Amino acid sequence: MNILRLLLNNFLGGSITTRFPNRPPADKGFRGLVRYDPQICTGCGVCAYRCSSRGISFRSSRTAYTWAYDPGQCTYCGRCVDGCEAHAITQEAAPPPLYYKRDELNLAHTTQRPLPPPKKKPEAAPATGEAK
Amino acid sequence: MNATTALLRMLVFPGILFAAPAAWFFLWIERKAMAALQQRIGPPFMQPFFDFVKLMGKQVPPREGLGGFLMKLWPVLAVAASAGAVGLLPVIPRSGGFPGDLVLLLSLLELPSMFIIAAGFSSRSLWGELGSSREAILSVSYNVVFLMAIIGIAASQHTFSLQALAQSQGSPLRWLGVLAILICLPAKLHMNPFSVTNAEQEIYAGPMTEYTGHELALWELAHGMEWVAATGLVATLIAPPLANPWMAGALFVVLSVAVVLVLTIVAAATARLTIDDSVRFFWRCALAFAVLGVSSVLLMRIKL
Amino acid sequence: MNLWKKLLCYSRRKSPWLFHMNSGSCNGCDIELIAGLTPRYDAEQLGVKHEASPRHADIICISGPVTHTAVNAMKTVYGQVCHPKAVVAIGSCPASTNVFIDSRVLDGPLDRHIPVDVYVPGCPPRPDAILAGIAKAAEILAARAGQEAQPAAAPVAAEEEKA
Ligand code: SF4
Repeated sequence: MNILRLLLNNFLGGSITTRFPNRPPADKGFRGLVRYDPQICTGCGVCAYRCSSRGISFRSSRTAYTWAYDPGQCTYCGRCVDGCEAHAITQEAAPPPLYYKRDELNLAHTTQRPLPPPKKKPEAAPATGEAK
Repeated sequence: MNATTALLRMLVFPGILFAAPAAWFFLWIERKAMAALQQRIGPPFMQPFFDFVKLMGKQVPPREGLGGFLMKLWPVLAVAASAGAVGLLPVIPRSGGFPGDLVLLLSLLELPSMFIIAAGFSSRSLWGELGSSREAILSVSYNVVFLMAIIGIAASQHTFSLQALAQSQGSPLRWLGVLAILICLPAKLHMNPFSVTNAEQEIYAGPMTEYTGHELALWELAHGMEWVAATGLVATLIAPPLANPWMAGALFVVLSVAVVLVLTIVAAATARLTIDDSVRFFWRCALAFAVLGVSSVLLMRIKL
Repeated sequence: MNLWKKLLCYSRRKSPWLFHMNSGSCNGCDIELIAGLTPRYDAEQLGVKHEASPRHADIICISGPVTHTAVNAMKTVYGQVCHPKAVVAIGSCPASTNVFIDSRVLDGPLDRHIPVDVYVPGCPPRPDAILAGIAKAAEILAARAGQEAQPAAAPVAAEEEKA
């Protein structure tokens, strides 16, 4: 008979459902898409080293380095964010968007390395958000 | 009742043309009430109708030979049988009827479950056969109780005509019989706690596992019409006789919906019993109940 | 006829029935999908029904990084779902094998075997994201009404009885 009381309370309590297109807000520490700031990045590549699922790849040569990110591969663990000494990597506090093709959300940034002796300051990075 | 009124009742009111929307409405009420009892919103209005249309537009894999023919045939027969059952209901009093239509109604109510058994076996799916054998075992058990309850009610009124039953006053014995019928209805309609037949997820979809597209749509329709017919039967038995036909019709619908709600609450409050437990329940508890009803009716007749 | 087509389109959007297949997932995504059926998110408000038989379903939800053992079962299931159908890949696993990348037991990612319509990223995705994915897949399904046939699974799926 307990269950009947429960059902009655449920019925009188009304629905607790979130209506469809509305979504409950993400919690404060939500780990969403990884964002990268090429201005701050020092090019150490520790994010690629720490990535648990190879979502971040880091290719570097003498003159330039490329930081690439595949959200499809990402497990949203936040290890790259924790490991980034310069805080160039952050995570959005919103759930990642749906996508319809593989590699649709991929990002890649190429940054020129500063030439060793003459220039001291790193060049402004061409922040190109084009798909890989 | 001549041929034209019979046809009209079969095809228009309360037959197919009325029964199909009523079936969808009842299925919707059942789902919506279940959702309300679980603090959910539930499906949008007339969801079963959209399910039906969608299923009609779905492709069906090619089926060959006699098995494929039978798989197409069973759902059509089930719809026909349950529509016939709905057509016999005296929704509006004195709209015609014939002595013995209760017997016809019972047999038409029984046919869909026979077709389900046959359908499961002809689909040649392991899960279909499992579901069918469960349905066969279950229907053997609950039908004894169901028929006994009906016989008890009919015998107490000395008639097998629905019209006469609807017009007569209820007696305490009739309430006993109605209670026995209500116990059997969840098994007939594959609801919890006697939903072993289609046992969603447990044995895939039971006898329906292999059916898609319009076949499945027709099965759903037949199931909805079974709902209408079965709840309508109960409503006929419990409705007090009213003189005004419109009032009587409205009362009939209200009572049917109430029966749907009662069954939904029972389904929401219980969990699925195993096939052993369901059969044991019917043979041990419910049967004693029904035998009590029938024997007391017969004893009363001897005394009279 | 036109009216019927419109109604059909509308109904396809309104009543997506799911079949959920686990192809070696860690169960995170499965639990989130089931959480989508609970009172808080209530997938039934979209007309979703969680079907047990692939024959009844319109939308196949696949979670997990597609292990070798799951590939054949998955193709069978894909073949068993009848014509207008859509595939939703739940989580990062089917999209790219996620953290299990380079595992020897995997044959992923999913789109090597069957065409995928919607990816729901996340590990696991939130139930509301899964619901949004299903709603999107239902729209794709409705748009597919005119299309006659659909791409089959990579090597044509064997239509065999699931026994
Ligand atoms: S995406 Fe994450 S949660 Fe989902 S199955 Fe893969 S590892 Fe598990």
